[in-house]
Amino acid sequence: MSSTSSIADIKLNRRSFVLGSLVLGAASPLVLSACSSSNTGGSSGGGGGGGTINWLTWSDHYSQDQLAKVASSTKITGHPKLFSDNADAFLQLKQTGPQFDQVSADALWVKKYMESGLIQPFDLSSIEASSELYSMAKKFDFLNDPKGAIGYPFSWSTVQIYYNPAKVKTPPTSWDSLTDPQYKGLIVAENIPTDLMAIAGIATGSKSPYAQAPDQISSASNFLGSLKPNIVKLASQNNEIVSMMASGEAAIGISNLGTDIRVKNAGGPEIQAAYPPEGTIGFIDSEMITAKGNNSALVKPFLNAMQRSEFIVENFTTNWRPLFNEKAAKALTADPKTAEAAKRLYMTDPERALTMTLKGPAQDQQAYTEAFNRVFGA
Amino acid sequence: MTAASTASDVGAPPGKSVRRRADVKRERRDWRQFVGFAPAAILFGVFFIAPLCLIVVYSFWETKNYELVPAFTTKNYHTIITTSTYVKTFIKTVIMALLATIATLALAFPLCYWLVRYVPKKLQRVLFLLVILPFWTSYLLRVYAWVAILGDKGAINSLLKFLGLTHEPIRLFLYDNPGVFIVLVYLYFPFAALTLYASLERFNWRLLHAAVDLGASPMRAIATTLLPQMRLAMVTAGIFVFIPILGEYLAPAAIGGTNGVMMGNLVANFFSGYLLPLGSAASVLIALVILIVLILFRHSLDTKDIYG
Repeated sequence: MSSTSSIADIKLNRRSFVLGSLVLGAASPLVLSACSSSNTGGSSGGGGGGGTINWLTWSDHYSQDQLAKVASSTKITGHPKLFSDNADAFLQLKQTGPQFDQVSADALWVKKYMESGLIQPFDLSSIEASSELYSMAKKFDFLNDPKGAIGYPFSWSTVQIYYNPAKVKTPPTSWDSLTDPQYKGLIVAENIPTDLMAIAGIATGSKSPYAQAPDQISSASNFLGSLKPNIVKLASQNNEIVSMMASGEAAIGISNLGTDIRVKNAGGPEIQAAYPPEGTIGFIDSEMITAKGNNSALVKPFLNAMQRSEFIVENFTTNWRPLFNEKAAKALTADPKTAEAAKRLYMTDPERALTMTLKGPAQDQQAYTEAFNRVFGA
Repeated sequence: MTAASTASDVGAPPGKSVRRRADVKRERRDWRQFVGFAPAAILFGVFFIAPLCLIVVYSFWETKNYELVPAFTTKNYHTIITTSTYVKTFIKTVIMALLATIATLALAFPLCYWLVRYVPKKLQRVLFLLVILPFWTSYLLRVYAWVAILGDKGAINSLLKFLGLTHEPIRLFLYDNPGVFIVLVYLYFPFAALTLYASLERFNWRLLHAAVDLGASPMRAIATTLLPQMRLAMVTAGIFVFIPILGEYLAPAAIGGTNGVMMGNLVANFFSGYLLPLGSAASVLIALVILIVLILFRHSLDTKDIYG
C-alpha cells in the first residue's frame, strides 16, 4: 500500500455502514433537542420586540396579506402550519413541545388542551382587540378557566347539508335521507373521522355524539356504511368541497355555513342549504397560547393585531362563516353589499352558536377512528 | 490493518515496531477517511433508521385517552391482521402496486427499446428529456393535473362536449380504482424508463444479431439474449416502482374517492386520529412486504450472474 491512502482502501462493508448510521440515528434526537433548547432563549425575543410565531391553524384563520400587514405593523411574523383534524393538531403540539407558540382548536378541544398542560391561561382583557368581541363570546365556559381565559373566540359554524337543485331532483331533508340510493356518488364531505362519526351518531339518535357507547358506535358505523356508496370523495380540506361543488363533481356537500356563497364565488351553481332536523354538529373555534412555546410571549400582541375588526371583515367576506367580532358585524351590516349575507349567516346572532352540538374530542378516539376506517377501507 | 497483521507483529524485531507505528498511523488516517461517508450515514441514520426504529417501537405501544402508553402489546398487529377491512385494503394495495408495476414496465420497455435501437443518439436525448419532463414539476401538481384532465370540467369531458359526443359530463375513471391505477402508472413511469434505458444503452446488440443469424426468430432472440441481460434492470425498475406505490397516499386520496382507498390512506387516518401505534403497526406490515420482496429478488440483483 502506498503512503497515500485512497478511498478504495476503506473496508466499509454494509454492516459497518448500517451500524454507523444506527449510532448517528440514535444520537440525532440528542443533538436536535440540544439545538432546540439552545434556541429557547433565542433571537425572537420577548413581548416588547418583534419575532416569529409558529402557529398551528386552519387556512381560513388568516390571509397572506393580513400576515404581511401585521408583520409590518408589529414586527411579528406569523408562520402558520396547517392541520385538518383537531386530534392531528393536538398530537403535533404534544410531540413537538416548544416549537409552536399559538394553536387553534374547536370548542371542547380547548379544555382538553388545558387538562393536558399544553396551553396557558391569559388575561383576555389585556388584549385590546377583545373589546370588539360580543360579550357572550367572552363568557363561554369552555374557553375559560379559574386562572383566566384559555381561548380567544374566533369563528363558528354549524355543519349542514348543501345541495345543487339542478342535479338533485329530490332535495335531502335530513342526515338519514342522505343514505338514499338516488344520491349515489353525489356527496362530498371532509375527511375528519371523529366528526363524521359524530354526525352518524346524531343520525342514529345518539344524544352525545362525541361520547357514544359501543352499541351506538356500531349503529353509527352502519349508518356510514349505508352512506359510503353515496360519497364520491372525502375531501382533505373544506375548500375542496367548495371546488367540487363548483365544478359539478359533487352535487351534495356536508359543509360549513357560507358554502353557498363560496361555491357561487368559485364560478359554481346556486346551491341551497338543508338543516337536518335531527340536529347537527358545529364548531366554535378559538386561538390558544401554548404553555411551552419559545415565543409565546409574542402571541398576545400578535392576536391583538390579527383580531382587529378590519381583518375580521375581510375574513368574513372571504370565508362567509360567522365570527365573534361585534364591531366587524356592525360594519358588515352597515355595508349594503354585505348586510344581507351578514344577517343570513348569523354574524349578528352569535347566540345561535350554542344551539348546535359542539365539536370536541371523542370519548373513545380509538373506537371512533377504527369504526370509521373499517367503513372507508377497501 | 487486519487482526492477522497485528498478531504477526507481536514479538517482531525492533525494526518492525516502526512499521507497526506506521500501520497504526495509517489506520487512524483510514478512519478519518470515513468522514467522507458521514453525509450518507447521517442521511441514512437520521432520516431512515431512527424513524423506522421509532415506528417499530410505537407499533407495540397503545393509546389511552390521547396519551401514548409505552406498554408492550401485540394488540395493534392483531387488530390489523384480524379486521377484514384492513386485510382487504392491504391485499388490494399489494395487488394495485403489483399491477401498476407490471404496466409501468410493460410500457417503459418498448419505449426504451425503440429509443435505443431506432432513434439517432442525439434525438434519443431530446426524446428522453420528454420522459423525465414531469419531474420538473411538483408531485402534488402532477397528481392534481389528473383531476383537471379526468374531471367533469376537465380536458376529456370538454373535448367530448366540443365534439358533440356528450351533453353531460361523464365520469371517466375519476374517483375510482382505474383512475388511481392510471395516475400511479403515469407517476412512476419515468423511474422505470430511466432504469431500463440506462441498461439497454449498454447492451451489445451484436448478440441479438448473432442469435438471429443462427436461426432464432426475433422474439426468441430477444427472449434468449436481451431479456436475461435486462433482468437486473427489470428487477431494479420494478423495485423502484413497486415500493413507493405500496405507501402511496396522495394519488388515492386525490383521485380514488371512497372506492380507491389504499393502505396509506388508512395509515394517515390512524395518525391524524392520534392512533400512532395502530398506524405504526400498519406501516411496519407494509415495510415487511417490502422486505419480503427484496429478499425474494435478492438473487436477481446479483450482477455476477449476468457478467460472469
